[in-house]
Amino acid sequence: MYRLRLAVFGAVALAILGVSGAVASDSGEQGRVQSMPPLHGARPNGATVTANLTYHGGTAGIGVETAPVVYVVYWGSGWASDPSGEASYLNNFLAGLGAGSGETWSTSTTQFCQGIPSGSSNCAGGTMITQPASIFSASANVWRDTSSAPSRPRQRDLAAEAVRAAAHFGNTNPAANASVQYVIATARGRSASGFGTQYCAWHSSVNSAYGNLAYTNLPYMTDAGASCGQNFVNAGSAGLLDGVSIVEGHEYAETVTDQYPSSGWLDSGGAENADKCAWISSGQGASANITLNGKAYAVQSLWSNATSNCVMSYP
Amino acid sequence: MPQRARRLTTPALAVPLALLLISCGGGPRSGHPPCSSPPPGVGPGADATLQVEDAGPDYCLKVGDQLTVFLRAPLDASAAAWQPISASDATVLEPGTSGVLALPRGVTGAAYRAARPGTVQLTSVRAPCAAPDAACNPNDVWRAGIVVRNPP
Repeated sequence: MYRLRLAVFGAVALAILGVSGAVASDSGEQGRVQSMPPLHGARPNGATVTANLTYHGGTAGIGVETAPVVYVVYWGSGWASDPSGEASYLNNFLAGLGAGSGETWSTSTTQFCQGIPSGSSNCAGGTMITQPASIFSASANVWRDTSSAPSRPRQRDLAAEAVRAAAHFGNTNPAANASVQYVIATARGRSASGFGTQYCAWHSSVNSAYGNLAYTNLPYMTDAGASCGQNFVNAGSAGLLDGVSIVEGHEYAETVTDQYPSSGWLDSGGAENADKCAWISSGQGASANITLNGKAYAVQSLWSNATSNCVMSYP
Repeated sequence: MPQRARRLTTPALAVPLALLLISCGGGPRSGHPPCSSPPPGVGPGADATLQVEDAGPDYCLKVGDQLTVFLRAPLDASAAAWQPISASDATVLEPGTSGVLALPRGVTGAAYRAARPGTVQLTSVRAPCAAPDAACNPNDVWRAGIVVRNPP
């Protein structure tokens, strides 16, 4: 009796395993091969990427920042320690962007627009991005939020902080946030998972009672060292903070041209204007210093539809 | 052998067999190929993320899931970067447009959305390997399988 029961059980088990194996071996699909263009910064340095950006229709009519304004939140008490001096460097970099300093790096964003059909790259009849005299004030656009910040913030934590920032700065209706981006700067050693190995920063948006809010997750860049740009342009101590301006410059330009991802300007592979030009170390579009208010800041080039390549200056 | 000992033997055999079936993922009644849970997602909206060390197994996704892939090469000049990642069936795993992550230097990335049930192979190579064939050093080829299922 026992042997019979064992034999039946074993036969059933083997039959089940056999069916499972057959399903596995029969299910491999041999469809067409799709080559996925790399995400930001993944292409080999200097490679030519010629596909221009097209407009993706916007979200509730908004696809770009027509008059960009940046707010920065230094989130958490961890900012009491800033051994690399990232906060002051970031403030000075952002304060230098805009027509007031005479810089022509961020002007490349002014060739893009909203209010045109999805799929188009022709801005005739659209509302163009402008370059304000200044996009940021270190005295008015900074919130040092010393409340408790998570040691490993998740996306929803960062989004919630962006909503609190909107309230803090009094931007409590959709119109006030239509051309605004909130940079959530996390303190040393308190970045979201994956920083330095899978990303250097990212931008996103969150729907809130104050409207759609664009925000950037900006970790403490020198924690990642060379992986996120340290000494990418400048050698020695002069290049310690290269990654701060390269990566924040990347996110700034992308948020201006794709305020609520991914409904602004992207190419056919989903790359934004800075993705297409990330980490180029030589030749056309190589990262370099720009001068803002008398100080040098390393930045990467940005994609120009007008010339179909990566440019450090426009026009 | 006493009857008592025999009765204990049957469940003792059944347990490992059951565990074997469970370890095969979807199990026989589901009619799906075996697969395992992928690592958690990194980046906005990502449900799952694969890296170099996740090569090999088949991972399960549900229709609608977002997958990101990050293949990192050393930063030294002699190290070749991973080439753009290929998916064997773009109707099962559609290229994503996440386009919001600033990747670190030396990282090749991709984003996908699980569009319909099926099985897909993700592949990338790095120099000197030009295509994933038998001549490649295994260290220069990256593969991972994805099994997309309908949500339960």
